[in-house]
Amino acid sequence: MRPSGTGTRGAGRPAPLVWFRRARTREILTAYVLIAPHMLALSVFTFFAMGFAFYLGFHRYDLLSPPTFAGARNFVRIFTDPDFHIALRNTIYYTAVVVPIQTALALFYAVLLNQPVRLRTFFRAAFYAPSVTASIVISLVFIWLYAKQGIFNYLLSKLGLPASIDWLGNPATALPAIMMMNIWSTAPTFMVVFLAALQDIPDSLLEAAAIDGANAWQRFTRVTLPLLRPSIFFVVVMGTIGCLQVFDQIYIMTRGGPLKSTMTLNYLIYSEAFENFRMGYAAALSLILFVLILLLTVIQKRYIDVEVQY
Amino acid sequence: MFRRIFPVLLIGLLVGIAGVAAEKIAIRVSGWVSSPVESEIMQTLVDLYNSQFAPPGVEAVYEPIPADYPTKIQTMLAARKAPDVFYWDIFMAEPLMRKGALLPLDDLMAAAGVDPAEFVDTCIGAFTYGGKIYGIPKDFNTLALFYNKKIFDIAGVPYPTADWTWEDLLAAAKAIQAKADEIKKAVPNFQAALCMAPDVARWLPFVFQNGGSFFNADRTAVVINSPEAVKALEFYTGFELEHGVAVRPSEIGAGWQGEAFGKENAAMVMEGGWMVPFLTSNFPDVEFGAVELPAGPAGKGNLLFTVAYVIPAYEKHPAEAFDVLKFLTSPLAQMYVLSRGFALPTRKALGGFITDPISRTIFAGAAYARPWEFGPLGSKPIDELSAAMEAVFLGKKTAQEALNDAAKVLNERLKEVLSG
Repeated sequence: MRPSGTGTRGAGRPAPLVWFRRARTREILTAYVLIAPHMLALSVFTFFAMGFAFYLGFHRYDLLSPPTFAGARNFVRIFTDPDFHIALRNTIYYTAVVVPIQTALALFYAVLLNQPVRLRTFFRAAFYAPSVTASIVISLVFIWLYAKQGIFNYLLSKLGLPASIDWLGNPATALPAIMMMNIWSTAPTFMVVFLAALQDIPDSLLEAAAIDGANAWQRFTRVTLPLLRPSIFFVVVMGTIGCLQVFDQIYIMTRGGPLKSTMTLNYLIYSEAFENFRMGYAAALSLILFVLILLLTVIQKRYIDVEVQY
Repeated sequence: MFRRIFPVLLIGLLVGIAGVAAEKIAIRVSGWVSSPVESEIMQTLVDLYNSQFAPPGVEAVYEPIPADYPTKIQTMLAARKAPDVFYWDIFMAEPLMRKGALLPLDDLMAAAGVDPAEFVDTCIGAFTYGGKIYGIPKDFNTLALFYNKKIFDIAGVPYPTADWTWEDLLAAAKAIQAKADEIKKAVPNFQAALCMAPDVARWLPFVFQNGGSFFNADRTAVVINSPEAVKALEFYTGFELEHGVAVRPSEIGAGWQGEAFGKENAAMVMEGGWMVPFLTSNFPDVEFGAVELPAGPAGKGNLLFTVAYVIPAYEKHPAEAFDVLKFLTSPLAQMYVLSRGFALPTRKALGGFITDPISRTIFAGAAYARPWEFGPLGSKPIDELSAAMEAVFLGKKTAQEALNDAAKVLNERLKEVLSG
């Protein structure tokens, strides 16, 4: 803010200005020095990689011979590639099922563990355990659980249900099997987000609602849920991005099979790049995935991230 | 500050350069590791080379690559960090040879007195492209029909012989399946006469035995949807779908056909020489034999699996690298590998040293086997054709539809690859 009264900077008073400039310069310099290591890593491994992916998307490149310009041919090819259509369908199906269930489950866990129950800390840790376990380990364990003679089929047989399901070997059940596993392992991560948000909701609001005659369900849907909106937005966006990029579990458990029923966009990108060595085509696919994620995030921002004030 | 440490840095740098100059030329040898025995054999060979055969100033170093081998090697080639001598599988050979990523070995072979005629023709032929040799095969395998003697005895069916035809195979399978209840009393794990996976590497011999092929004669088109190939797929899947005498490994909780055979789930499987060490170490009680694959309407047919040692095109020490390669494919090294029961030698002269009857069967298959490769298409056909086979097994498509779809995709890919 400019001090009032002194219309112009007096020619005889340059000193404070210089001092100000120096201090500010020093501050800016310090800031740059402090963020430099991270910026350096970020520019090499993120910005450069992004730029190079964009460049490769318009080239043909097999790692061994130098890239040759291909114009928009990669993109034209994508839209006639049956594998792309399969992968897109699988990815959207996967996201559409996993995100709502995982968000609801995370909220359910959080509300449950926000109650003053005994051993609350133990339950929080136990619920959170799958989230800190490496996805590779979980995948390897679930291969055995889903085996034809595995525990899931055993439990089904105990319930008197058909118990010879080849979970990961049948095109109808392979993707749902991976969905169930990922919902189970990811929900706790988001539970933590909801737990933190729940604890931020002032008791006074809930008490006021109770005095006004709102029952527990009404207090939850009319007070708690709207106040959780920013967290829900965060969880849905992060969940969607994670789902659209699902890869490691598929790489370990099914490698896209059987009958391409678990081939997702990211797995297709991997197999084109590192099995077929079509780097340009894979880069073009990853640009399409980027646009898809961007679009979905923008849409979600518009409809979910609406500010709520009481 | 910098001025104070500069002399120290300079001295360090000079000492470092001197050290490198005095050091030996290291020839890095890489391969995958199929079992602990393989890395032990390789280390023994490399140590032997260093102690007895290495010229002064050269040292071979064994650097195994445990996983994702083709991906790792191709990215290393791109980064110019590839090993000096490495394994390369036949079905990945042409993509690398046509891109000029491998070093042609003809001149080095001539200079070192290595005659290509000393090696099994199909093996060395698979690593020849445009008239040049790019790799010397280290060992090979073909398929054979493995049978469980106990189950055949119980069923009262005579053991398979080398002159079996498709009809004999089907008749024997039906005869065994008819006795399933009796067999189960003695062999509780028994499920079916045959275990047949939706695996291209098991079905393709049937295509050859029926007079079909993957490519047309001049290798410009994929003809895997020809009537011969369709009939072969119908016959292959028919064992399970039509006659009920075969099961897939996944249906009975086995990882692969060999495991199902070892657990005595099936009386017969078509597998390669790798079965012998696998069975003797994991299922020592199973009594088995092996004969050549049955002949089809167009005669005998088989697949040849082989791996060669290759050198990258930009190799800095080609002579030294080739010296290591020459040792690893020498009669001495191949005899040692054979003595460990690990793989069959690619040197014709060593064929006579193969005494084990099953190994002789595998060796005999090489006479008429075709290499397991898809030219410039690399591994893509394996994905597409596996999916086609799965679709037929699951009843989603007929053999004709499945192969038409696969051939369409593969022909488009072939056009793309050949166009530049």
